[in-house]
Amino acid sequence: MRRFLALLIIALCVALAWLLPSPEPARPAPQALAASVPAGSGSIVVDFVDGTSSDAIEALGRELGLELAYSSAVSHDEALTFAAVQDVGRALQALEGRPLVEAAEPAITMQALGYPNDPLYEQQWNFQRIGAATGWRAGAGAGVVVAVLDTGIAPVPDLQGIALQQGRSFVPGVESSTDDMGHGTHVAGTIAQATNNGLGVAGLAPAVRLLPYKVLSAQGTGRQDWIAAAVDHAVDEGAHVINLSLGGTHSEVLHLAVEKAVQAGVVVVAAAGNSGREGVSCPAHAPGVLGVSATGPDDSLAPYSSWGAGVDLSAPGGDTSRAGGGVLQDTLDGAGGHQFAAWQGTSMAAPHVAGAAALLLGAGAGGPQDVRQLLEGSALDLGEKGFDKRYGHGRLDLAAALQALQLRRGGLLFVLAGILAFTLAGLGRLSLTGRVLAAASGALAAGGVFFLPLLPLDMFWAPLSRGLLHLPGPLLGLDWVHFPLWCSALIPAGLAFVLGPSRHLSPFALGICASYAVSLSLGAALGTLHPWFMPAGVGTAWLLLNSSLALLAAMAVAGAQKLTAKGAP
Amino acid sequence: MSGTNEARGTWRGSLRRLDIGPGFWTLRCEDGRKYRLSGSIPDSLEGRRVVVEGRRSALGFDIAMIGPVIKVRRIRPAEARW
Repeated sequence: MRRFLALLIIALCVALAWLLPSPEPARPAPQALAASVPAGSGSIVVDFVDGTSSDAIEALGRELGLELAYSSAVSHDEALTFAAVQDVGRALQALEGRPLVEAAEPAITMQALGYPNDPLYEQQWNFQRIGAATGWRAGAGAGVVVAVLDTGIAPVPDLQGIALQQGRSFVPGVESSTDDMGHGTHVAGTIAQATNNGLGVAGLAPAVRLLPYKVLSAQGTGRQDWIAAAVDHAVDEGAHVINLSLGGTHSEVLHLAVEKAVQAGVVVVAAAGNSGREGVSCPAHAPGVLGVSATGPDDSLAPYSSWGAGVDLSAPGGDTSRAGGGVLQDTLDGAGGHQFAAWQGTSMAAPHVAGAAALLLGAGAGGPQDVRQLLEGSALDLGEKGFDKRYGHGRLDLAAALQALQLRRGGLLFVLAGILAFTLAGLGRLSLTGRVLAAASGALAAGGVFFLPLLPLDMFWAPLSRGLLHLPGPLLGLDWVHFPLWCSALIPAGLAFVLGPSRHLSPFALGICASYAVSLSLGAALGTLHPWFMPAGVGTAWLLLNSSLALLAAMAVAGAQKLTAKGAP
Repeated sequence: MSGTNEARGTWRGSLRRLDIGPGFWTLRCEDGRKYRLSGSIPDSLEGRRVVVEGRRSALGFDIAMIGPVIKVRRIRPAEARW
C-alpha cells in the first residue's frame, strides 16, 4: 500500500511539473554545417543570423551564384531562405564558415500529417502563426454558435457543409441575409471555412454554427440601430460569440447593445478600424468588447491598423504589401462566381479572435470573462512590454490559450478528481485494482484525456479531450452543459445507487461521483458553469450544493463497499 | 428609411485606392480628413487631386472603418471643369 502511495505521489509530482510553465529553453548553439551530403542537384535551406538584411543575403547569393529566396512571407525576420542548386554538396561547402550563416542544410520534404488537406492551407500563414492546428484537435468549436454581423454570408463552395442557422437581414428593403458584397463571406470563412475537405482553404473553427445577420448594405455601410437590433437578436437566438468586422463613430445605442450582450454571456469581438492612426472605432472601444488591431506576417502592427484605447488584442489581419501576406479565404468575386481572395484589414483580424473564442468555449471555457482572460493571458507580448495601445495584451496565440485551458484546467481537474477518487476508494477498502480504477475513472471523467490536443490527431478525437460534464457541448450544443439537471448530482447519485453495491462496478461509480464533486465545485469557483434560469449567486449555490451531494454519493459508495468488505468472510 | 439626413456637399482632395478588404476609394481632404467614397469612380483618377460632389452618408458604420462615407454623384480632376 505504502509503495503504491509513494508511486502515486511521484507520478503526481511528475504530472504537476509537466503542467507548470516550462522555463525559456536555452538557445541552442549554432549547428555545424552539414559536412557530408550527397552530391548532385537539389535544394538547400539557409538560415542566416536573425535580422540579416535582404541586401546582405542578396549580395552573398550573388557572390556564390545562389538564388536565395525567403522561405515564406513570415521568414524575413528569421532570415530563413531557400535555393535550388546544381550541386548541393558544393553549395553547402561554399556557405561553410560564412559569419552571416547560422545553418545550412539540404532541403528535406517533411512527411505531412495530412491534416488539413485543403490545398491552399500552406498559404494561410495567419493560421499557422497562431497555432490553428491545436484548435482543430480541441474540437473546432463544436456546439458553439457564432453570429457574423456583416454584409451577409454567401454559400461559396468552400463553405459547403458548414452549419448555417437561419439568417436575417436588418437592412431595410433587403430580405435575404445572403451576402451581396463579399466582405461577410470572407470574414465567415476565417471563422469557419470548410476544413479538411480537399478544397481551397481552412477555417479556424469549422465545427461552429454560423448565424448570418446582414447589417450592412451591398456598399458595406450600415446604421447603428440596424447593428444594435442584430446584436440583441443574436443574443436571443443563442449566439455565444458575435463578430463585428465593422465600425464607425461613437454610438451610445450600439454601446448599450453590446454591453447587454456581454452581460448575457456572449463574447463580442470587433475590429479596431483601418485609419492607420490612434483612435479605435465604435463598437471596438466599448467596455467588455474584445477590440482587435491587425498584425502582418512579421507580427508588426499592420500600417493600416487603428490603435489606441479599446485595443485588447491584435491578430493577423494581413499585409498585402508583402508577397503572400494577405488573409486568404473563399468569397464572392463580384462577377457571380467565387474567388480565394487575399485581403487585409482589421476586419480580417477580428474573426481570428472570434474563431479562437469559439474554440475556447467549445473546449470548456466559461464565458466572456473566462475567454478574455485566456486570450489575453496567453497572447504573445509585442511592442512595449506588457499591455500597450498598439497590440493590447499581444498577438493572439490560440495554441497557448488552448494549452492554458486544456493542460492547466483539464490537468487540474484530472489530478484532483483522481486523488479524491483514490482516497475515497481507500477509505472504502477497495482492492488496489479497485482504487486504481476509481482514480482513473474519476480523473478521466473530470479532465478527459486533457493532453489529447497536443497529439497529432484529427478533430474526430476531440470529444475525448474534455471531461464528462462538457460532453453535451459538441453533441447537443454548448448550452446543454449548463442545463441545471446535467450540472447537478443527479447522474452521480443515480450511478451510485445503481452501480454502488456492485463489487466490480463500484470503482467506476465512485470515480464519476468524485469527478462531479470536483468539476462542479471548480466550475463554481472559476465561474465557468452557469446553470440555466439562475442568477449568478443562486447558480453558484446550486453548483456547490450539488458538488457536496456528489461527494456524499461517492462516500456512500465507499461506505457500502467498506461494509461489504467487513461482512466478507 | 435609409439615406435620411444626408448632407450634400463638395469635397476636394487627393483620391487613392485603398487596399483594405475588397478595396475602397478614399479621399484625403486638405484639412486632413479622410473619407471613403462609394459609387462609380474611374480608375484613371487614381492618385490625382479631385473634386467630388455628393452626399455624406447617414449610414455611419461600414467595413472600411477609415472615416465617413461619401456617396459620389460626380467626380472630376481638380483642374478640369464639370
